[in-house]
Amino acid sequence: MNIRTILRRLPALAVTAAIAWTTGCGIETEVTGITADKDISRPDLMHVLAHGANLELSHMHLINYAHFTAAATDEITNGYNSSGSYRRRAVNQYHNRPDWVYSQANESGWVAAYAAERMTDVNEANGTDPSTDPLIAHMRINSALAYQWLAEGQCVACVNWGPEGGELLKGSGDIYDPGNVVDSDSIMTMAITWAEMGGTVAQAAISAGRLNEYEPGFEHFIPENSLYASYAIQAMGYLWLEDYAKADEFAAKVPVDWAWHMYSHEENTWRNRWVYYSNQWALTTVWGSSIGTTFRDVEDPRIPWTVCGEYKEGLTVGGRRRSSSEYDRYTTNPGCQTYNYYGRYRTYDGDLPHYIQRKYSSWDDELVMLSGQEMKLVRAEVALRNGNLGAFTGYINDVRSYHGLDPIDVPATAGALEYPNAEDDAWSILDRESLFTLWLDSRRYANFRRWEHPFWTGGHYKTPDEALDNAGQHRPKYMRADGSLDWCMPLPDGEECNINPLVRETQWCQRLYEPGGG
Amino acid sequence: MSVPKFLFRWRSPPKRMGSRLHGASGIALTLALLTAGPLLAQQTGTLTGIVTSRGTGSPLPDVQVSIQGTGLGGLSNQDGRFLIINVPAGEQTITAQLIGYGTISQTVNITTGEPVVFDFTLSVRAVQLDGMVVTGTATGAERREVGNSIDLITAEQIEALPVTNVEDILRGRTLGVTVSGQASQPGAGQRVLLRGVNSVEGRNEPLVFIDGVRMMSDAWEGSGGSMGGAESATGLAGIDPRDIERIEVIKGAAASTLYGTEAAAGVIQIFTKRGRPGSARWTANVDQTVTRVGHVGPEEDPTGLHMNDCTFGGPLRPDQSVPDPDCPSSGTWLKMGHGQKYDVNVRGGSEDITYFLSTGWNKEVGNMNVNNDGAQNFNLRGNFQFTTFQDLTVRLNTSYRRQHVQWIPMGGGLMEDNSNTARESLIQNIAWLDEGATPDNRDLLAMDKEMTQTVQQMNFSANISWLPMDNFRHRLNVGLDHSNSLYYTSRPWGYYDNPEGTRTRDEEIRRFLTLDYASSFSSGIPGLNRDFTSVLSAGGQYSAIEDQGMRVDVNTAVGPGNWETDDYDNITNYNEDYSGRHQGGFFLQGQFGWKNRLFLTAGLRADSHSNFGDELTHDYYFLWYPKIQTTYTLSDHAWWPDLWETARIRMAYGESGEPPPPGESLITWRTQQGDENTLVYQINNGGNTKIGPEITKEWEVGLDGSLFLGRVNYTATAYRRRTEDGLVYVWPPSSNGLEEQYLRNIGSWKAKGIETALDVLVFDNIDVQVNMNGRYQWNETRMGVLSNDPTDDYYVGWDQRFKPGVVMPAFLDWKLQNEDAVGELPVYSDTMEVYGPSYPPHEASLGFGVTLWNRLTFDTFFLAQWGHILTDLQASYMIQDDIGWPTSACIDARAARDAYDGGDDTALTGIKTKDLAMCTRGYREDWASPGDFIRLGTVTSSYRFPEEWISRLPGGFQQATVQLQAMNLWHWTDFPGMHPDALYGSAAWVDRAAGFVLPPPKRFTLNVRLNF
Repeated sequence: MNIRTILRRLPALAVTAAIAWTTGCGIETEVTGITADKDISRPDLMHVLAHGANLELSHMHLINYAHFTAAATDEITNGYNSSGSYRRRAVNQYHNRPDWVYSQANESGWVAAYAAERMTDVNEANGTDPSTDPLIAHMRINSALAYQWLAEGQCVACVNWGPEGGELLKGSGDIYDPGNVVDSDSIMTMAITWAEMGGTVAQAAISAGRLNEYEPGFEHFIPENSLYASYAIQAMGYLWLEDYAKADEFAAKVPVDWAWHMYSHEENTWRNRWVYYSNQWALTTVWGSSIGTTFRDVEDPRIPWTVCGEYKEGLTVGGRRRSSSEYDRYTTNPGCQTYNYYGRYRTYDGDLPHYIQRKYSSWDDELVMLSGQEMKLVRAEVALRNGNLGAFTGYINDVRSYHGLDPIDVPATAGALEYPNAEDDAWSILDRESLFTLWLDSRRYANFRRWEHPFWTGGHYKTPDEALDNAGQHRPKYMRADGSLDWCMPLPDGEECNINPLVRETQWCQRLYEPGGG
Repeated sequence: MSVPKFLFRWRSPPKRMGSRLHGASGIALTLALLTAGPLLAQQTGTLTGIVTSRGTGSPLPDVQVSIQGTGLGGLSNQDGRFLIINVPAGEQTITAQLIGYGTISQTVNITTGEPVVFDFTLSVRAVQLDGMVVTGTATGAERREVGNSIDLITAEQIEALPVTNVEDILRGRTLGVTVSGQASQPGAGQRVLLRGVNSVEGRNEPLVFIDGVRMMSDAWEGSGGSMGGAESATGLAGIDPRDIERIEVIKGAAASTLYGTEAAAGVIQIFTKRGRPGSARWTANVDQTVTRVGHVGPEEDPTGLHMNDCTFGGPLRPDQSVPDPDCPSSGTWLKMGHGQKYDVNVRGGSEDITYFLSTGWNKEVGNMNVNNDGAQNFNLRGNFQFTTFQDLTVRLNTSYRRQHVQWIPMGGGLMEDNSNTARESLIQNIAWLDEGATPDNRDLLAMDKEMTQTVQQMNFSANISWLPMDNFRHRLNVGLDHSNSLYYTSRPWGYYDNPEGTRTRDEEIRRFLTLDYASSFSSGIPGLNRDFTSVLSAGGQYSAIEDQGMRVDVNTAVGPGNWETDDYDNITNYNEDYSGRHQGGFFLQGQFGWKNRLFLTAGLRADSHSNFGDELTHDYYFLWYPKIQTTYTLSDHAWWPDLWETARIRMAYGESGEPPPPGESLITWRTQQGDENTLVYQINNGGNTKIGPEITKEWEVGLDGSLFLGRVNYTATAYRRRTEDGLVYVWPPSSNGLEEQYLRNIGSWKAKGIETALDVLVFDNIDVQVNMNGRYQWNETRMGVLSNDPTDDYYVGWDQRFKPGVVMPAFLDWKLQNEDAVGELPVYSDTMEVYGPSYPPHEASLGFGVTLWNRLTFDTFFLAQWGHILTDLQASYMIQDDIGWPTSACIDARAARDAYDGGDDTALTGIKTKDLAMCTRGYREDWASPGDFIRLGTVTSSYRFPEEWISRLPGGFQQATVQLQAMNLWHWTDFPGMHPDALYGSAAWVDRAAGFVLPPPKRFTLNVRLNF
């Protein structure tokens, strides 16, 4: 073959090569530094995926949820530039904090469901039984928890990835598949369903003897944990749905010493936001909260806190920032900080005395998401609603006993919720014990909604500053799906209303209920 | 009659407005139509002569000389000579034409016996109506066949320009092109856009092909970007203009359809010089350049922001009576820059092999009185053409260049060190005085930071043209462009701001592999008479593009010295990335002509790209880009009034695409460290498996023509462009479960514009030629749908945004509501308002040239841009940093404001509110002003020494030309800041802002060119 022949054939070779390339023979973009979806469908990476799902659930936004809901109730007082705003206004569409909670809850639910789908596929591909996989049980619990929190926070929410399935990630043919509006009861129903699914798999895993498929130190993957979590979520769900018998039934299955923590934080300073908020930056203070006022003199291991600073005698919070000379300092008290701006004796904004919470004092302290103690409180509430004050007192004392506290006597009356807490009747006891037991664990907001707590219905505590600025204002309510109003979080503007065409023009995205309008 | 092969070669008969050159094989000395049997029976003669350039007197090779109505014609050789035999005796109309030059026709009386000698001179025309252009097919096309506008610049035009790079060539001389900004440092390149901004997330710069192979033409990422510095090097700016034979600028989707996905922003084709048969012809150039930065900042400030004069106080420091301690001994921070450039090329060869070899070196020292700021370039090129076989031509083109730039650490380079003090030290060191500066030369220490960049680029291409039949052509381009940039930023041990020193190494590698095959078959149309012609074209392209980057940041040098990154204690950042993508496609095109008057072209391209989502390619496999064009030459009709001479109308529609970035189609995960040192996966990118290209659809209509015996050439084009499936990042609603933004094809935006040019030969006789040319272009690109959130806008930078319903990008910010008030405090709008587009919608240029005695030329070139808004970073940050701005208005406003704040309620009386805003608040929006300017861009004069003088010199010299060239001699503007065309930042940035860079220097160049 001479050179001329070769050259003459070059065009044909070029065409052939071009056809080969463009018809799929290896025409793929190669990008380094990424982990593609297909790369992680391996049995040995399923734990890593589960950790990631845990991290999403415990991500800072959900930890923010504890902070935000605590500030919106009587658990703690928020300083800095949002001082009192959550409490005064609860939430409006402009607040990005509930936006983050909303989006993170949706993502946590989806990521766990997506992980469970992948785990199922990997199990099947490797000849193992997905119906007994402890990790899948754990993922179902994650989805259930995310939706439980979504239901407890929202009046309505848009939901796309229900437990009824559908091809995950594909939706209706497009990854961009926004969800429709459902009310909080429906969301809670989904949470219950997911919890049932998780419980079923966990029970099967226990029956199959798959009890120890976890890495050392990660006992939360034990199927027994998922099983108790399933019961606890169902108990909370049925309590929300006012099916008290079922709530009691499931709560009864959970031992008092069991707890489900917020696992797998990022390894950084976000991993326990209470330490960040109260210790590092002093953005929050126990000052002005129920614990810092009504229960100021109560000695209870469940509510450790310390006075680090105090207004000098005769001074109160006022219209201007207090100078440092107007504070008495107690920074040598146990738990008080010796560093960082004002955090030693006053809040970061300089406005409020710093009473530091000490329930969470280490970055490694895990927040509690579900617990047997809360189940006792559920049972106590059910008993109270059934008029059985003896049983009520027994469940309360179970919790107190768990913390080494003296038992209380059976109250004389059921009474009613009051603010400030009257401390003598059964409802006041339930309110107090609930506050103490679940303090800073993001649980009180849901109870406030269910109970229509008097703190929210006009009798709430006002700091003098709040009283000056917002006299007579009430927290806004937002619309439930049935058109009635509730204290809750609205559909967020940026996260949902502006970009979900299914709700953009609906009543839930109209600003009918501006702050102060409730 | 037999004719020696080396003298004659068969060619197609020429057509009226230009004949098909059949491209690359153009080495013939002479051509005759041997088959014209009947002619042989007549009385015939011979026509010969030389074609030279009107402006330079240089012989012009490859000129198509033809005799109307006979089918006879030929190409001039390297010496400009042509020879046509067997020409029928009697009066004949001779036409000569060459791409880039005007066509000339003369009547000549051919006699038998002695050859008739007839010489032509051709003039470069700014507006060219004829000639061949490359369109992506195997044969190219004549302009009269092409429905879209194509601009072309020839080597002779380039050689007459005082330009430093290709971007300078394109600025104002090509319709539809906007070159954003002007270099203030040696080695800097600029951003080139065709017909405005074309994409939000994709590339806006045109693709650049050199000798048929795609090349790295954009700004390097580190340069002017992530590595700091105020300006950047670009691949396009690295090409030696003197290697260029011609540049074609192909605008509009209709034109770029045949280039497929990635060509939505247009295409620039650069063809380098090639050899011609004959003895070696050498050309040597020597350039000596001086540059000078004029007055810096407001004219009222005699110190020029303490850059021109740092020996005394000036308006901002009237109490300063002694030189700043840091002031260089020369009393100024500026110095005269000097550039030198030496290049030589040789071209020649035999009938079978020709060559063009060139090499050049230049060095330019910049204008700052610190460091060794400046750039050096070395270029080497070898182009070879093999025509061993009559129907096969092989061209091999190779080039290598090395560019080394020492950037001045101004702008971001200093901002990153110390945002409140060092930033000012570039332009003025007065800030130091507030701190009680001591004579420790801290400015010099600040400038001690070294920012050096070395770019190397190699390009190899093979162009194979096979002509098995005269009407059937194959063309194959294969090539590789490999380039890399190595950028070091070093703060030495003992650096004022960071005594432990730091060093950053940034390396980028880019490779483009091009494989491009096309074939064309020309014929009549079966069943129709010879008035009907057709050209069927088909082909396919494949390209592979690789980007590779590596960066390492280290700190804590162990002591003084010239350290490598290894010698530092800590690596604070190490990063590497790679992406490789592939694109391939096919096209089929049919062109149908009637009487060489009407042409209709329809084409279809099928394309695929590895960046597309799997689902997209699965469902559609190929994306189809159609095109249709038509042109009609009205002036071919008998009824066309002679007064109007020639006129052609044209229309084109086409589509092309812009692919998504690599990896966007993939669902990806990132690893993270969870507590207890666990590894966790979190979703990183939700991916979009249906992601596809942006589709740009463009219409254009145009009119080209000439009047008064070709003395007036004009062209006008109007276009409308709509981009659909625009790639924009959107947030999914939270209910989607994903919390990451991802790219989605939901955007849309549209553009419209007009482009006009006029070229007038005002006066022309044997001794004097006067010509003028002008261009005007207008472009408006307006955002339609930007996101799934109607309230969204997209922040580009420096207060510029893409926003639905608004020109893109636009300067948006809170706007002063009482700017015409006096004595009032500034009041701003509650919401952001549109100030205007940040790119100039209007651009015009005006050229004026005189040629005397065919050897002495004068040319001037004005450029104007207007209608856009620009902010000045230098002024606004000086105000914000409480240094002030040295105008009397600002000094008065500042004093008044201080007095007012001190309790004097009457202090603002008589003070303009606008001045209060600019001079005491000084946010970027306060300095956002129209960036209109008119600039005397270039002034050149050349003189070609009489050849009889030159020939007497030893060494075989044939021609010598001396040129005096000047750039940026004068400009007018109302812009209140530093300079409206000295822009800060990387050429890759979409946003535009002035300041933080020196004004573009005035350049004076003496060029001597010798041919021997």
